[in-house]
Order: sequence, then structure tokens, then C-alpha cells
Amino acid sequence: MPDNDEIDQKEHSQRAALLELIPNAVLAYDGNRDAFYVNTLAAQWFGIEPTTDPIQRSTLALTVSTVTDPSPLEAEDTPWQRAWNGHEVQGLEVVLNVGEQDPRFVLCHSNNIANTYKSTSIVLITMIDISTINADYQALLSDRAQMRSIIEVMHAGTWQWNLQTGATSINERWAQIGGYSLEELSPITVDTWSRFTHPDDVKESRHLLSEHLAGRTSHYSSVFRMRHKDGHWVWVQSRGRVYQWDAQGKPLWMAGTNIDVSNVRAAEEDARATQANMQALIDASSDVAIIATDIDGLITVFNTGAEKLLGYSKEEIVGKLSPAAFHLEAEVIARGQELSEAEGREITGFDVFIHAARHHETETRQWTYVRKSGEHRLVSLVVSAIRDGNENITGFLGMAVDETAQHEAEEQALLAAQRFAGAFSSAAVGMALVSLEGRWMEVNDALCEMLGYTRDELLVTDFQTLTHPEDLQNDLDLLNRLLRDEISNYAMEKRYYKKNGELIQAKLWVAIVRNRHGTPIHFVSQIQNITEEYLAKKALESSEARLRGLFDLSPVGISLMDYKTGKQIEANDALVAPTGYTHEEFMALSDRELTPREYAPLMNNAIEQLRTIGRFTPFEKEYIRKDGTRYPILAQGIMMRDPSGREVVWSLAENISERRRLDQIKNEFVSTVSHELRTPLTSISGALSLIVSGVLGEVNEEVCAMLKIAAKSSARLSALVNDLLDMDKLLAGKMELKIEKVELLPLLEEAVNGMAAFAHTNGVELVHSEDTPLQIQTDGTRLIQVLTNLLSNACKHSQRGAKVELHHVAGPDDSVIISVIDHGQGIPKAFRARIFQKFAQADGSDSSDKKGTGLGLAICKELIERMGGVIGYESHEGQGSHFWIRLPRARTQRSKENEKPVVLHVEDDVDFAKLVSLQISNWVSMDLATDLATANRKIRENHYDLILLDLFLPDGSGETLWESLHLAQADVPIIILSGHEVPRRLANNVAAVLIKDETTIQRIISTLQHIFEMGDK
Amino acid sequence: MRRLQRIVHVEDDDSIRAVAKVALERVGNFTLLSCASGAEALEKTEQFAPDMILLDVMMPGLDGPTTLKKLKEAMDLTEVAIVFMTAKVQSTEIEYYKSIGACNVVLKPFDVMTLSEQLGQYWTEFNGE
Repeated sequence: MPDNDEIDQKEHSQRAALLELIPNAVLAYDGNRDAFYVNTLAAQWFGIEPTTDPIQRSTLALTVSTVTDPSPLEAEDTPWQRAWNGHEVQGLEVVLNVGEQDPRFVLCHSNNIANTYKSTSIVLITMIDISTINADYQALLSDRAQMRSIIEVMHAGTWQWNLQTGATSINERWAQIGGYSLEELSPITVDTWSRFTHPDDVKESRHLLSEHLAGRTSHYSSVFRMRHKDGHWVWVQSRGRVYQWDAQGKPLWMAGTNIDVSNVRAAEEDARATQANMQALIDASSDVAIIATDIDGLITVFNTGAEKLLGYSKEEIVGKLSPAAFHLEAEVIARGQELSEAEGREITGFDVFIHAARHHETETRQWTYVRKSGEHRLVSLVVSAIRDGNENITGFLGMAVDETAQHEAEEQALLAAQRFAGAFSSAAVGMALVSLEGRWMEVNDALCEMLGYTRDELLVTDFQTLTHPEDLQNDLDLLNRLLRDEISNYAMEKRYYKKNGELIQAKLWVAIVRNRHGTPIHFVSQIQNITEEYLAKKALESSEARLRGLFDLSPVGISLMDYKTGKQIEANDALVAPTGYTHEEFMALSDRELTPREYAPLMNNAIEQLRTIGRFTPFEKEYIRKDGTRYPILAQGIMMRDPSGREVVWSLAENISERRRLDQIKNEFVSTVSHELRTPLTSISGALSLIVSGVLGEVNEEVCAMLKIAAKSSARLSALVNDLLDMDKLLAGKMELKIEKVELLPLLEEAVNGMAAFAHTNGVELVHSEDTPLQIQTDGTRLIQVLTNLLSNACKHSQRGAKVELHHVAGPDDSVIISVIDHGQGIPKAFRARIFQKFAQADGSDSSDKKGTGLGLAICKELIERMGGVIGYESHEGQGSHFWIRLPRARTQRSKENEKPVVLHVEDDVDFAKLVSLQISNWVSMDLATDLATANRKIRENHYDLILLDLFLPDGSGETLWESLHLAQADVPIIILSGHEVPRRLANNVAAVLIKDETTIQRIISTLQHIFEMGDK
Repeated sequence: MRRLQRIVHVEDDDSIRAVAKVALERVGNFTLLSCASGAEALEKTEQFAPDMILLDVMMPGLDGPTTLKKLKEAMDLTEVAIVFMTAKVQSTEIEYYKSIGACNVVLKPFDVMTLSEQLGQYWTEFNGE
């Protein structure tokens, strides 16, 4: 007999094997309620190690809950406790929650098995894992509940159809959709559907059904029309699917719902129609760009206006691009930064455009669009969100209006305004805006300055107050015409009063500004101060008037002629009256027609002079009167250009009839006087000569001495009268010279012989040693007169016993130089300036017997120059004088044009002279004299066109050279080139003064050029 | 050639006439008929039968040229040398006097001591041609 333990052990093993044999998880009690046995599967589910030993319940880390409630069950309610307690556990579903494992759905059953050995029973609890089944089931339950709720919410009708038997069931709602009750439709068959369905829709619905039954669609869905009980059609959406198939896989059961979609359908129809209309509207709008996007920014609508604005076609954009494609990136970034700062989070990209729209704001902003061509357009863009019925955003809508043109116009207007304002304030002329009443509305600085007011002072006055009363009416008349639109603007000259009372002459321009309706608003005035011009013009007018007066009243005939045509342009009365013609007749005649033919050579000469030097020197001619008689005139003229550039000749024609008559009277008077003087003089001196000569017998010695004085004085008186008459004739051009080729020596001898007695009387020795025969061109008689004069002077100014020398030499340039040299006191400085003047006398205190007429040297100079010669002198006070004459040996014509000008440089600094010479020798013939003596000789022997003179020379001052040259050859220009300051007396009487230290060679050259050019003219 | 001996001097100025008379008679040893006017000359010249007539140009009443003209009308002067005396020196005038029959001109003021010699020279020229 086995002991109890042995038996227990055996039972224990059998139980364990038995438990393991059960394919489900098993838990068993064996007489002890606090411990139970589990098989391996159960141990696994309970999260413990498999064991054959009893498990203490308290050691289980396990909670149990119901399927519907996750909270742990009380220990008494667990399936195994309920089974122990003797309750039958059948199909109890619980959830095992073990540690981290997924909750396990478990279906529990219990069995009480009697223990044959012990009088106790074994309680077995089997657990089946239904987690998977449970999930499906739960889903089904949930689906069913959901379906039910959906069906209820949707007000759906339901249907079930057995495809094999054709048995069909529907619910109440199904019938209601058609306006029936369920009873009214009974019995329900599969044809019930087809009976109520619109014939047009049956075919389509059957097709959709067969597609589903063939397994090609997951479910059947069809919209069709059902006839309502009252006759109208109801749109129904029917959805369903096969949910059970037979053993052969053929569809068995199908179920579904029917929904009345008439309202939806109508709403859809409405929406479709509205959308169509909208689309048409959107498409048709070419002025407004309409762009819609989906929620992500992809463009869905791009209308014609957008195409036009952006240059892209719809096809290029829609579904492909986002609006960022045609925005200026920089603007988007900048706006993004603005928004980011305001919102405190980053907003970029498409969000920048729609940020406001998202928040139920319709935003209007200006943006720059970049066209496909790259061109920028300024747009005003309105962005709003598109929302569905539930206020969910489904997209965005943008509408853009091109404002570029408007913006440009605005900018232009602004610019114009700014420009006007700028021009207004900175204008150099006065400018003002003037109200219709004449008040200054705005004035610029120039006007304030012009009128002497400050701006504020000016703005409280009006133009009427400031206008000179005499000018006001005219101004107001014009202003009124402007207001009446008769003129668009006006200009006038008027006078304004300045603040200080002064009058200014101004030029005023006025225009009117009108609004778009043509109503005048104000005037714009521009005021220019022309006082100076006005005064200048007045002065000019008055000077013109004066000149015109001179022209009209001049006793000298004045005419203006066209140089080219010789036609008279103007002639004054003094010119016209003596001719006997009327003014009109005179103007029709040319100067040539008025002039006798024999004057043609003189006229031609005058024209040639006009052409070459721009003027003609006075010459006498005659005019022929209307009656054929003639009268003499002195004509002279100058050529000018009138403002049009025409060459005109102003000529003066002095009627010299009267002068001629006076000349005649004078000549007769002179002849008479000379006759009347000479006759008594002749008899006085003749009578005395006869007595003194002893022809009439011996005279008492004392008486004779007195008579001799009388004879001498009468001789002087005769000489004076003769000289006077000579001078008169010379100056009047009446002395006729017979210039011919003559032998010089006989003339000189005759002069010496003639003076011999006089020389003897003065105790002077006349020396003329040379005997070189020379021929010269001269008037012999007049040359003797000159030499006699010079010799006589020399004798008079010599000491007794002194020599007076007469030399002659052949000079260069085919000339002869004749010198008269004395060794007297020389010419006093004070006298030199007047030496060749008429009635010049060296010294009033001189003894009376040396006195001459004071005309001698003046006559000499005049005669020598008329004979084509030059007279000059050198004199050193206390050392005598040297007078010289240079005469041509033959009649030579100097052809100046082909020759370089000849310049004598009087300069002791040879290096400096060379420097100057080098610079100008290509166009000037330079001659150098390094001391006064050489200079004097050279001047005596040669003709120079110009003298460059240094004043400080080794043998004296250049001033003496200037003095003699200035007096004897005034037409030879002298330039003083000195190292020191030049006395004013000299400076005023030379062509130029240059100080060596302050000048340059270039300056010397330009001075020379200037002088020669002047000379040529 | 006969010698110059008889000269008629026609001169309105008394003092000139007197000086000339001394100069010509005493210095030149000529036989002189002095007339105070052209009229007097017309009256006495033919009877005097001069070799030369010295005529002042400017005289009141009959002037020199007119006197000459009337003398020529009154007598044959082909053998008589005619000399004018004048203060005017223009050569044109000298030519003029020659054209009306003068052989030369004496310019005033004349030198009393050389006047006779000058007339002698003119006489030689007159006869030489």
C-alpha cells in the first residue's frame, strides 16, 4: 500500500501532466483556496516561471479587469475565485494585465472534477486568449455603433438583400425617402427598388452594382432619382456592400444605406452654377488680376487679368507655381521680417502673404510684381482666405490691381510740384502767386529783395498798391482779359514802388491758373527787374537822339553808304541842301554820280584806302549841283560794320566853298600885306643902303653909324616878312618845290659863299673842305635856303674865332648826309623841346644881333621833309651843336612790304642785345649801337622803323637821343628799355616803356609786334 | 647889241620911285623916266623911246598888265624889254607875266645895290633870244 505521501506525489505528477495536456491555459485548485496549479501556458500568461508546485495567490503580480472597465476586479470577482466559491464560470471575459505586457483578453470556463481519492473535487479554470477575436469584435461593435449613429444622423434608409433568394428588407426611413410608410410598400421585394427608380438611372446603377459584385470595387455607390409619392423626383445616394458570401464564395448578403441627397444635389447644382458664374467673372476680368491658391500656396486660379498683368499664361502657372514666383524677393523678405518682429516668431515664404488672411483679416498691401519680362509693376494686392462651411481654410484668394500708371502719375505730379516749388524759391527772377484780388499769396526771395520788403511784409500788401499809378490801369485791363480767357498770358513793362519809395522798372509776365472746371484760382507772376537795362536803354536812346541831332543839325554833310554797292543809306540836310536836290532825289544818286568824272582817280584811291586801312584821308573834290554847277567839298570817311555785318562807310563831306572863299580872301590879304609891307621896306632899306654905300657922297661918320643900324634893322624886318610869307605858303601847301637831280658841290659852295660875308662879320671861319662830287634829288634853291639858315645859326652861336664846319658824305641806302657843326654853347636843354617849333627862340637874353625870326628851323624841317629828307641834331651843352640833313641821292621807292622792319637797338650790354636779336632776327633787321655817338651816327645815316633805347649809356643819357628823335622824326616809334625808372616826360612820349628787371624777351617781342601791326594799319 | 640906256619906271609908290631912281641913275648910270601911274606912262613913254620898261604890277587905276596892254596898242614895243616888279613869287605868276609880254620879273624887295646889274642881265637875255 503506498503511503499517503507516495500517493500524493503520484497524484501530483499526474495532475501536472494532465494540466499540460490541455491546449488552453489552465488553472486548478486542489483543496486549498490560497494555492493553485497552473500549466506552462497559464504561467506564461501570469508572468511567472512554469512549475508543478502550487502557486500562492498572493505572489501573483496580476490584475484582472472586465472588458468594459479597466479598473481591477475585487479578488472575489476574479473567475478563479468565483469558481472556487462554487459559482459556475461559463464564457466569462476578463482582461489580464501583467506588467508591461499588452492586456490579454481571456475567455474563462470552469469545471468541478470529483477527486476519487479524496472526497474533495478539483476546480479547473480554462482560459482562452481571445485578444485577437476581441479586437475584431470590438471593431465590429464600434463599426456597428458608429454606423447606427451615422445612419441616424444622416437620416439614412437601410436595406438588406439576399442575392441568392432575392429576399429584401428595408427600414422605415427607406420608405420615408419616397414619401411612403413601410406598410404602404409591403411586400418588399428586390423589384421595389427598380419600381421607384428613374429609368435613366437604372442602367447606370445596375452597372455600378455588377462592378462591385464582381469584386472590382470595394463598395457600391450610386446616385439616382427615386420617384416621390407626390410625383417629383428625389435624388438618392445609395451605398452598400456584400458582407457575406456562401461556401462557394458567391455573394450572399448585401446591405447598404439610402440617403436623400436632393438638398445636397440642389446645393451642388447651385454651387456649380455659382462657381461657373464666378469663374466666368474671374476669367473675364482683365483689369483685376485674380489669383487663388490652395492652402499650401500652389496657384489654382490665374485669370486673364493676371495673365495680362504678369505676362505669364495660365498654363505656365496653375498647379505649378506659388505667388512668390512673381513677387520681388526683397519685399517679401522685408515684410516677413516686419511680421516676424510683430508676432515674435518667424514668418516667411507664403505665410507672409496670407498671415492676415489666416486671422480673418482681409489685407490690402502694395507689392511689386515682377513680370515674366522682368519689368516691375506696382500693384495693390488684396488677400483673403477661402473657407468652407465649417470655417476651415481651403485656400487663399488674391486680387491685384496694377497701380504702376497711377503711381507714376502721382510721382510725376509730386515731382512737378517739387520742381515748381524749387524753381519758385530759387528763381533768380521775382516770382509770385497772386490771388484773384491781387494779394500776394506767395512770393520768392528774389521778389522780396527786388521790392525791398520782407516776405511777411509783402504778403499783407497787394500788387495794386505797389504799382505806379500810371501803369496800373494797363495792368488791370490785361488781368481782366486774362480772367475772361481772352488771352492766355501777358507780358508788360511797368514800374513798382520799392519799400523805400524808389521806383524800379520791371518786366512782368502773368499767367492764370485754373482748376479742372476752368475756374480761375490764382495768377502766377514773374517779375524781372530791368531798371538797369531800362536806364541803359534810355541813355542809349538819348545818346542816339543826341547823335541823331548832331547828324541832322551838323553843318557838315554826313552820309552813310553801302561799301559794296555805293548806294546812299542815309544823308543829312547839310549834305543834301547845297546840291539843290530833294532828299529823295539825292538818295537815288550814288556818290560817283554826284562827283565830276575827273575825280575818279582820287575816288579810286579813297576806296583803296577804305579797303586796306578802313578809312580814307581827307581829300578835296567837287559835287555837281542839280543845276549842273559845282562846289568844292572836303571828303573823308571811315568804314564800319553795321549790326548785320554789312560794310558801310560813314563819310563827311564838308562844303568848303566858304572856306575856299575865305582862303582866297586870306591869300589876297597876305599878298596885299606883303606887298604893302615890302614896298616901304624896300624903299627904306634901299634908301639906307644907297646912303651908307656912299653912292650919294660922304656922310658924317656918326650919322653913318646910325644909318647903318637902321639899314641892318630894316634888313631883318625884310627877312622876317619873307620868312612869314614862306611859312604861310609852306603850311598852306602852296610852296612848289622843283625836285630834280642836281650836283651837290656847287650848291654847298653857293651856300658857303652866300654866308661868307655874314661869317666874316661874326668873326667865324666857315670850313668846307670836302670836294667829293655827288648828285642828289632836291630843289637847289630851297636846299640853299636851308643851309643858309643852318650856317647862319651856327655862325650866330659861335664864339669869335671859332670854326663852323660843313661836311657832306655819301651815306648808306643811297643817301647823302650834310652836317653843319659849330663849337658854341650848344642848345640849351630848356629850348630843345621847342627847337623845331615856329617862333622858337633859344634865349631871350641873347644879344639882339643874334636874334633870328624864330621861324628858321621850322621852315628848314618843313622843307627838308618835303624834299624826302630827314633833319636832326646832336647837341652837348657847352660843346656845340651838330645839325644834319639826310637826303636821297636818287628818287628811290622804298618797297616796305618786302622788307623786314629795321630796328636800332641802343644798348651797351652786348649780351642782352644779342639775346633780343636772336629772338627777333627772323622778322626784324636788328642794328646795334653800344653808345650814344654810334647811335647818333646810325640815326643820321639810316632810316629806322623803330628804336629800342636804353637810357644809361657809357657816353651819356639816351634821353638826348630820344629828344632829338622825338622832335625831328616823330613818326619813328621809340621803346625805352631801361634798367631804371623812366622820367614821366619821356614815358608819356614814347611808344612803350619796358623795365628790364620786370620784363621778358617774350614781352619785348610782343610789344614790337604790336607796334608794327599798328603802324601797318 | 646896243647898250641898255633908257629905262621907263612905272611905280605908284613915291618912295620906291625915288630909291629906284637913285639906284638906277647913280649906281647903273641909266637914263630914267619915272612915272607915278600907268596913265602917265602912256602919255610919256612913246616920246621917251625907252630900251626897257620896268612896270609895277599892283597900281591903283591902271595896273601893270593893263598899262602894258595899252602901251602895246599905242606903240611898237618889240624892241623894248618889259620887266614887271612884284612881291608875288609864285612861278605860275612869272609864267603869266611872260605870257603877256614880259621878259622877266623883279621881286620886291629888291636890292638897291644890285638892281642895275640884275636889269643889265635881263637886257642881255632879252637881246640874246
